[in-house]
Amino acid sequence: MNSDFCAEGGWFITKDWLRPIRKISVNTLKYSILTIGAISSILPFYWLFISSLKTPEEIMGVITTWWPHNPNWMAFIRAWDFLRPPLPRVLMNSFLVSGSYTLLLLLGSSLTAYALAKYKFRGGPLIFWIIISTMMLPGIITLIPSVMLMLWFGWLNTYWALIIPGAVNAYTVFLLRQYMITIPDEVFDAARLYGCSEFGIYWRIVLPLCKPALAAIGLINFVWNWNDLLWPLVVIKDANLYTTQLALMGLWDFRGSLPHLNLVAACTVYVTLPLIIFSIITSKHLIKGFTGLSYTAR
Amino acid sequence: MVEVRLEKLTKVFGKNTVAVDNVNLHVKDKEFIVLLGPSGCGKTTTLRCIAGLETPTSGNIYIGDRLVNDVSEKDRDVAMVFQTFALWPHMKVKDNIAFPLKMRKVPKDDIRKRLKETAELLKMSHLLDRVPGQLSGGEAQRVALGRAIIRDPKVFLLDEPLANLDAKLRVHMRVEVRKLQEKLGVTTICVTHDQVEAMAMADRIAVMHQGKIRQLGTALDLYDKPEDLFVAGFMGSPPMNFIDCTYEEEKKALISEVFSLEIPKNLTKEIKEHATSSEIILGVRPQDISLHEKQMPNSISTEVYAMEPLGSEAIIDLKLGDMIIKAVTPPTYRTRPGDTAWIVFDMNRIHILDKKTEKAIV
Repeated sequence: MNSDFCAEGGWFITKDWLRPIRKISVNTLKYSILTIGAISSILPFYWLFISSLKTPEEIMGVITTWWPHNPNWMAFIRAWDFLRPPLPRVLMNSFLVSGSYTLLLLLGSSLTAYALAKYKFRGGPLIFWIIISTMMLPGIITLIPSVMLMLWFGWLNTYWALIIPGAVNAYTVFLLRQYMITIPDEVFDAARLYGCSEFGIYWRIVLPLCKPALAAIGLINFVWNWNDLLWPLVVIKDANLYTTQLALMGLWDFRGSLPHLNLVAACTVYVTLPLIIFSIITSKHLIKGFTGLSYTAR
Repeated sequence: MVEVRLEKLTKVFGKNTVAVDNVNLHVKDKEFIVLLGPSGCGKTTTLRCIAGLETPTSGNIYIGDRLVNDVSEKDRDVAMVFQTFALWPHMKVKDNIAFPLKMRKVPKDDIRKRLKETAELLKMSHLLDRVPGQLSGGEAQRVALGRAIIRDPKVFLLDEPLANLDAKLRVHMRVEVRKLQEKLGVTTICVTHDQVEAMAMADRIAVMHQGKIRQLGTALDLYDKPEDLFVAGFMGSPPMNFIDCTYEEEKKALISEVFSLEIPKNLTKEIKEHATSSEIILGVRPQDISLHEKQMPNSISTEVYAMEPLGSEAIIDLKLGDMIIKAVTPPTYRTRPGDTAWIVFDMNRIHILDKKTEKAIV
């Protein structure tokens, strides 16, 4: 029984009957908001999926249907050859580009962040602030200079142009450095004292300890690179090097309309699926990474 | 025989932050020595210099007969237990402990054997498959000790090894640590700010202050014969009471603002011979003050200010003029704030220090 002390008359009972009502109201509100959020996140994916099972006429029809009249799975088979280049090639290109980009990004950023977080060297803080200041530049400003660089390197219309330029990212360095700062120096001192080399410390101690941060940052960047259209559009001409977004864009016909909407939807499902699978695989670390990027000792 | 010698060891951070100032120390083989001092006194920096985690600005460090100034930390053959234990949270306990051996490329069978021996020695065989996150403070401490002893180091360095444990466990573990050191017979240097811990564990204690070793000796030496004001005030709980006095040769007495205290002849002789002036500090441990309800010979009148009954004893705060001094009495002693208490100092145990040099005279 919940009670409070009353100055005049001793103990008295508060309005206990109000508490469950208040609790139910708060919970209802909380779950309503979460449900709306969840539905609005899932709805586009659902719409995409059912569109791939519909005929183009049904998709464009005046009456909206939440489930196709005659679900037709053929679009998923035809989508395989519908894209130019074919879907397997496009997916392979995107996996190669986004995977290499993400690995390089994590490797380079974690090495840079480790040096900036845990080594004291002349000019270290200045270097850090220079890196940070590049975060202030809007990406569009560096677009033309970056293309010029690719031209000078002879990397235009190659995988290198898709992988290398983005693989150094100030924001990632910043996030990882902030995470590494929270790891006590003693953790590294102990490794050093017990015979670990400097690279050994990075490989055996730093990287495993940063797993949640690396997973979160890795996923964000993988998705970002997978979905990037502008940069591949500028540097890639050869259709064999097309990434998913470029290939999807190729579905627009010369009149600016999208024929075979069910096929387009099926292609998009194929293109989106790897991202969803990747998110599920890394979800354990992701939640830790997103909810609080700081080291916990024990 | 593994001795550790520090010769004029100095460590300066930045341009003028002197952390360790000309420290000389000789740790004998199999000795357990404690560096004791308040935060920022340079004790951990000294330890880190011995470990090789800090480079000394000047001075020499010898481990055995070998000058190790330029020897890397991993080749010094020392093991260190850190204050936070510094376990690697992503590794299982067995991997944490076996890490030093793996780094030395010890054959797997040997690693397994020594891991088993170490786990049995520290009674933690059941913990080997856990990760540090699943350990209590005491267990984590044992793992840190295990990691330190598994490769039979020449020297143990313990940096506040008990600081992160709760009070009860600390009392238990300080005995365990001492027993372990005796069993292994490894020269050990331990750092702590807790004088009780230091007195309980050490063969000898080096009291540090402002980067210097102020006194080196056994626990009883430091307690009974402090050489200066800092050591006198640092050792003992509650700390020693200090009262500014003037020595009057004619009266053979110490004169303060509120009392005149006759002192024995042997003390007057010492003061006469060693004091640089008549300004001296009288130091009395709370345990060396007796309280009386009535006036006694050579007693001083005080007013009871507060009482702290601690069960085994009581600490009485007494108002002596403008200052408060502490006295320890048996728990049965009854008094109340505001009462008058006549105090008598045990003249055989008082300390007299030179106010100018802050060095002990008696």
